[in-house]
Amino acid sequence: MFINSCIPWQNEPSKFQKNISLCYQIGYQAAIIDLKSKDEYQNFIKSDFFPNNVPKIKLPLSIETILSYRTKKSPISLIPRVTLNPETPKSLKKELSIWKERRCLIAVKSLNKEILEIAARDGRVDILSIPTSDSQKSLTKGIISLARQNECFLDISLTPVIEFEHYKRTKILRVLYRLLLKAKPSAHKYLIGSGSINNNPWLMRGPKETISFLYSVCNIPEFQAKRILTKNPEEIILKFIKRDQKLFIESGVEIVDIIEERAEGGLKK
Amino acid sequence: MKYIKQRYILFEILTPEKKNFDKELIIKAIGKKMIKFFGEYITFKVGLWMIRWDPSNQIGIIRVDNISKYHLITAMMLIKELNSTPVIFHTRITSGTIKKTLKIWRQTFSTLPPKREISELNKRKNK
Repeated sequence: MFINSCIPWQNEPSKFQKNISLCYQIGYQAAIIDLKSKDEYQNFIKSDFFPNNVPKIKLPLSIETILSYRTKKSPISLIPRVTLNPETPKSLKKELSIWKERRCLIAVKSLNKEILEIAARDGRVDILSIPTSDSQKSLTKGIISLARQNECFLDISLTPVIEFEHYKRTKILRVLYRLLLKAKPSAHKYLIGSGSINNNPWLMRGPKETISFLYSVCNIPEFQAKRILTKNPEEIILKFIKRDQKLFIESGVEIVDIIEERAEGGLKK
Repeated sequence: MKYIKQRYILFEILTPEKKNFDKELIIKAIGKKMIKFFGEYITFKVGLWMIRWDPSNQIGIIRVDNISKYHLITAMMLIKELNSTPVIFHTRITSGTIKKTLKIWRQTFSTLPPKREISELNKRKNK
C-alpha cells in the first residue's frame, strides 16, 4: 500500500477532488493532507472527504483499518496533518498545547534551529517537515539524532527536483544528498510527499517513479526506498488511528485486540 | 559473451486534456532527459526502444536494458511537459517478457494493444 505523505489542502472542493483523483490514478491508496491553519483544519474536518464520526474498525490494526477512513467522495483514505510554522519556541509550545487533543497529526516546519530542536525533543510532534533545501540545510546532527530517539519522522519532498532545472536542480540535489548522508534512511524514518504542489498538481509523481529516483540518484537500496513509501507512512497513520480510536492509553500501554464476551465465556467454561 | 537481459515497461501518460502525442516525440523527450540528467555514459547502455504505442489512449511499452531500468523511469519522472502541456509519466509495470506485458495491458486498460509496426529495414527486406 503506497501512501503519499503530504498533499496540500485546497478550499475549493472541486480542485481538491481533482488532486485526490490524480493521486489515486498515479498509484497511491492513502494520503496525509497538509493543513496550514485552524480554518483549513475546520474546513477539512467538516468536509465530505473525512469521516465526521470515528469509523468502526476491526482489531488488530492493519492496512484495512487505514482504508476504513475512506469516505464516499474520496477514492483514497485521507488523514489530516497540521503543519505548524512558529516564530519562537514559546509560540511553538503554545500551539502544541492547543493542537494536542485534536484529530490530526502534528508537523513542525521552521528554519530556526532552536525551534527544530524543541520540536524534535517533544513527543507531541509527529513529523519534522523539511520540503525545501533551506529547511534541509538547517537540520543539524543533534536535531536528527533527537528526532530518531523520539520517533519523529522526517518529511521531504521531491517536487523541487522536478520543478527546477540546471544549476538550481543540482543545488537541491546536493543538499538532499548531504542530508541523506547525515541521516541515513536505514536508521532514520523518512516520509516523501508532494508538499509544494500548491500551484501545479501535475508535479505529483507516482510511487514507482519515486522509488526508482531514490535508487538511481540517491543510491538508496530498493527495499529501503519502498519502506519510505509504504511502511513508514503506514506506521504514522496507525499512530494517528490509535489516538483517534482511543486505543493508546499510556506510553507502552495500548489496546491491541478486544476479545468478545462470548469468547470470554467460552474460556471460563 | 554475457547475454543482456531486457525489461519491458508498460506506461501511460496522464494529461489534463486528451492529446495524441507522437511516438517519436515521446522517445525524443525521454532520450533528451536521459542525456541531460545522467549523461552519455548511462544513456548508451539503456538501449531505448518503443515497442508499442497507442496514441488514442496514450499507453505504450518501452524496452530497456535490465540494469538501467531505474534510470529510464527516473528520466520519465523528470519530464514535466510535452508540447507545452503538463504530463505525468505513470509506469504501470515492468516485466521480463513482452507476452506478460501485453497480457497486463489487456487486463488493466481493457483495450487491445496495437500491432507491432514493421521497421523500415524489415520492409526493405520483405520487398
